[in-house]
Amino acid sequence: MSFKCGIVGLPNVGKSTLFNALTNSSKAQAENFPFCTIDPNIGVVPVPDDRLDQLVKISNSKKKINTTISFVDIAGLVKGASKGEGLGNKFLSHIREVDSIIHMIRCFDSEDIQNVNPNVNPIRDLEIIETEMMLADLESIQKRLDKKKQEKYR
Amino acid sequence: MIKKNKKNIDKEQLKILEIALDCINNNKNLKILAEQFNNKILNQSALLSIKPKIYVCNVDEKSIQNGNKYTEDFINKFGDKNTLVVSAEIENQINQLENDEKINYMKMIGLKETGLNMLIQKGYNVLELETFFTSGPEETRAWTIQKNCLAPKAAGEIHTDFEKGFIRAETIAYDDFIKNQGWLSSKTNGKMRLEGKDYIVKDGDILNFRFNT
Repeated sequence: MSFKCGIVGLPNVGKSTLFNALTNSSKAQAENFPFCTIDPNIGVVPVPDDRLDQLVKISNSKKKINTTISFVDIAGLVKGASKGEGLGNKFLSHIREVDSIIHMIRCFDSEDIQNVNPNVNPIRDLEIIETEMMLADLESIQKRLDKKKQEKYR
Repeated sequence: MIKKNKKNIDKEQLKILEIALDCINNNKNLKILAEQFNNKILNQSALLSIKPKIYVCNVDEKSIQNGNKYTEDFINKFGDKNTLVVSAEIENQINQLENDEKINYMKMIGLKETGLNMLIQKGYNVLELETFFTSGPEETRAWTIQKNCLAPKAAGEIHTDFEKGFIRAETIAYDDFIKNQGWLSSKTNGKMRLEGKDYIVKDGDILNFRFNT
């Protein structure tokens, strides 16, 4: 059972850079442009564990197999994503599949990196994302509850 | 029987949805769901707001060690239990270096551990995961399980036949295995236990499953 962590955050906070660093690959194109991730990129990473190395030594094993964890690079969300703003809705559905969410938050000043909001404010940024996810939930709950009601009357 | 089960699940999911709806509409904390339902059932609801979260504050090079005013504000508000301060840019650079260079470079900029390692550790904590091992001359392998996992379920990670035909798990705690340098002496020194279906696997256990198919 490999666990999936989805990396989310506003555009241009460094998600693809982190994803590349984690998966040691250049699969995600990290470019300084909002919405450069179109399909979620999945990277499977071996989990480093010193104990495993010790055991290999003792048992004289031919092979060492780490357990793995998967990271999913999910495209930047913006305010209004649950209503289809940005590349919104489609990506919210990718988040549903993951076991945990990694919130990437911008905590650096830089002239070079475009920011969708005019200043750096990590708390506001997190609240935007959390609100979008809540709105998406709200919509899906409403839909499912309506469906249940219809079934009842049938 | 199956139908009845399905109905129960539906009922439970319906309840989760209703509680979540109430929480969101009235600005209440969704944590109360985690108190009432177990993770697996909650996950089936596919709601985003209740998924376990890790916060990664992306900083520049000079803030790696001590953070900055942004991370301070953030941690003051959301706590440091699930928060990590990482520089994605630096991580990327570290990753392109060879092993020795990597260690030197990390020392130079005052980084004790790579972001990947920190993130994985946080992830394991947040998701309440543990590791058990299988070890022999052919291979040594780490397996991920949920905390408080019963032995047959752990066996099922390797193969479903192991779970179905589970008889016993030969079990050695990690420290005992290291102290006795392997299966054989652990056994002769009485450190190998035969555990049954009710055994809760501990983090680091070295296991060998006996099963019958």
